[in-house]
Amino acid sequence: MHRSFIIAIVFVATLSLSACGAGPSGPQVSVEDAWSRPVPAAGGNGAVFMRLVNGGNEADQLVGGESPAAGAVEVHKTTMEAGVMKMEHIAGLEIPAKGKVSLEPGGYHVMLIGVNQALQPGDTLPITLNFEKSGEMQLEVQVREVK
Amino acid sequence: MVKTRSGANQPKPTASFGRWLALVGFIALLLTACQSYQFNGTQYPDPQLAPDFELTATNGERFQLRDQQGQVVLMFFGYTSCPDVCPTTLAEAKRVLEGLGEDADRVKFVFITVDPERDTPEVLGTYVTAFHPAILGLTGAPHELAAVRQAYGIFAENEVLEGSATGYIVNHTARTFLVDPEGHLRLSYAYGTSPEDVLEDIRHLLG
Repeated sequence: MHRSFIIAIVFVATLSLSACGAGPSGPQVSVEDAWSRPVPAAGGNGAVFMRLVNGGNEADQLVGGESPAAGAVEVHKTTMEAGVMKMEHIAGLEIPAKGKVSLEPGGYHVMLIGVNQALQPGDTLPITLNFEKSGEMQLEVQVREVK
Repeated sequence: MVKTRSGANQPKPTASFGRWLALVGFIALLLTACQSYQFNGTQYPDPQLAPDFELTATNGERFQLRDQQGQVVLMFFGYTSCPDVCPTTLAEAKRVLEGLGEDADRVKFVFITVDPERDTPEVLGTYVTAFHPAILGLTGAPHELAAVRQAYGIFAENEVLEGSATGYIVNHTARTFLVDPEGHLRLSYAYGTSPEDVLEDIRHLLG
């Protein structure tokens, strides 16, 4: 009786511990609070900002995007060096495992190159984001004024 | 010490203390009145007349800086293909102009292009007026624009981004400059300065 009790406890403990394991493996990326800046006229460039959250245990990378609303979509980073504004084309923006990355004015942004028409506050803009591991994610992004 | 009618000595602190207090208070008042206004922007230590220039405004007129005396002029150098820093600065300019209310017609905000190749007067005009109808876009021949940049110490350089559909971007100084109503280059503001800080300085200069 005593021994089978111990065995039972060990069995239950092992089962519980395996249930506490890492869970599904791989990145789990979600997009929060995506918004687009207005663009005054067709042909202009725009910027989309958002928070990329990765709840998974593996990092992922935002590598690009497409949108029917613009000629091209690329990830860029604004940098300020001694008062001089520069921009860099980012091939892959890493979202660390169990981490997040904020795309906001003055930093990273998803750049819309050559919009097909002016974007006014209140418009919605369809955009597909491409992640290296997580694949494609389709969003409807709100255009709003800069706060 | 004064002698009261009953003959006992009594200190009379109230009157002399009150006098001291009044004196201290008066000095403090003088000191606060003498304290000059603290500008939020970076001051030019020995303000000179702002370098004059003449460029073409997007409203079709020629714009000469010297003719703007009596107004506060805010100047920013940027380009319309810029997706981030320039729109942010113009959105802040809009907040400043809106915050001025009636005083807005004593202030000019000019956006001087660093990309005359792509920023034609039409493109520039549509762009700036989308933010606020009172913002003026200024352009000109490349050598005219280069001369103004040099006079104000502005860096601007085209850079081709490999593998990018942007063609080229322009790296440029992102400060805003303020010329006072007497035509002196008084202040500059770093990118990201709050509109409220700029408004405070402008209101002080408009008097």
